[in-house]
Amino acid sequence: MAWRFAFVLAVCLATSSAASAAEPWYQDWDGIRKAAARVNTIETTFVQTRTLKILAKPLVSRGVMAYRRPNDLRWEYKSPLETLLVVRAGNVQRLVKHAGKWVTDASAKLEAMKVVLGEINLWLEGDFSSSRTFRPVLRPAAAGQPAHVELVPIDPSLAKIVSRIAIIFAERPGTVSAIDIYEENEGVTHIAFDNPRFGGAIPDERFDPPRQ
Amino acid sequence: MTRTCCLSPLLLLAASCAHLPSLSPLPEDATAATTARCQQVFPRQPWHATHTIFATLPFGQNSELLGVTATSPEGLHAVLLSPEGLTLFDGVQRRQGAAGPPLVVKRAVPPFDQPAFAASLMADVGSAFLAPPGAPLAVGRYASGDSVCRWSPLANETTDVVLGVAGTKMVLTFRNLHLVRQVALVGSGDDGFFTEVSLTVPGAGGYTLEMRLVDRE
Repeated sequence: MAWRFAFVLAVCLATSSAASAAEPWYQDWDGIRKAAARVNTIETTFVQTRTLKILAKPLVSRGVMAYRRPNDLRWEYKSPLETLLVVRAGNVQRLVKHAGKWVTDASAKLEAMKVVLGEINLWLEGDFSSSRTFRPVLRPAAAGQPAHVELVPIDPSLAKIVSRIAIIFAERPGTVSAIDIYEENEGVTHIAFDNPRFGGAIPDERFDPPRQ
Repeated sequence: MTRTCCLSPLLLLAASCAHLPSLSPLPEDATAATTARCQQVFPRQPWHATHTIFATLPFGQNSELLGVTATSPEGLHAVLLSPEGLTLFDGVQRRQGAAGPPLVVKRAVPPFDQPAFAASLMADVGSAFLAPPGAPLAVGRYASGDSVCRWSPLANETTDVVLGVAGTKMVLTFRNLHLVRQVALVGSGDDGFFTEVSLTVPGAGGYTLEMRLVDRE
């Protein structure tokens, strides 16, 4: 289930709206690394839109994300599914809500998650080029497309699941505004972040499974 | 769900006796109305629907997915998505008599690529959302008083649509006289779309799928 985290890898740079008038921070890998290193915490909501050929309307999911350097993460879907991934100090837990209670999602392969989360740490540093899972290509803004990193799976078996990922930079240094996940012949999943807050203190409990 | 739980032991007991639950006849003037009510528990084609699916699998494993189902001239289309939107399974069960293989798997990633999975999933979806073809072979009552329409779409398979006296609605599938699938339809059922559909496959390798309606077209 390593692919489940393909997008989470990218998310951890997340979201922005504020701007600087200077040259873009995403001109090169070194600039990206330096900018990412200055982002210590993020809290944001997101809207995930999935298009499918058999649906006239896209499928919309909503959730929240929290990140705290160096590697604490909360990725929570609030609708229509209620699922929760929390990572704190290297401990990974995935839960689903059923009949009003959070229960462990036993189908998640946590060992695989740990491997991929190791990759995330590289990405949190803005260090895309050291990834062993994806080959990164820096794409400057052109032809109506915003500047982004394109990630192509190195492992052919992963490429059957995710053909490529586009991480779209925001203007605030070290952040992204959206992520597009492409599947071959299967449409795209678009994750857009809104209302991000940077640098605020996030309590430990946000990265723990809920008490019940 | 409470109603489902109350009915289940009775039905499983009936099935364990390796014969179909017997039907007593309805008054002749009630048959047509009962048949119509049985057919109304299924959505009228064509349709698209999106459900959340909570799966309780053998050995207590739980998982939650999104399911998109649709009927079209091509047949029955089912797509399973992870919460993150990734396609785990995409298959089409072609209509009887259509050219080509009856079941086309367009995409299946582990563990949804097991050989028997596609056929089982399509049978599950078909049981819950597709009316058996044609008119029922029999319309009657169980000993409990529940009204029943009975079809036999395959030689060794029987489908009972059960309209409970307490308002419950179920679809039971028997194969070789054994209950192999039980679908409980819960909620208002507007146009054949119920707010909750609970499907149980009994037995050692059995599982339960609890589907909640998100959207329909």
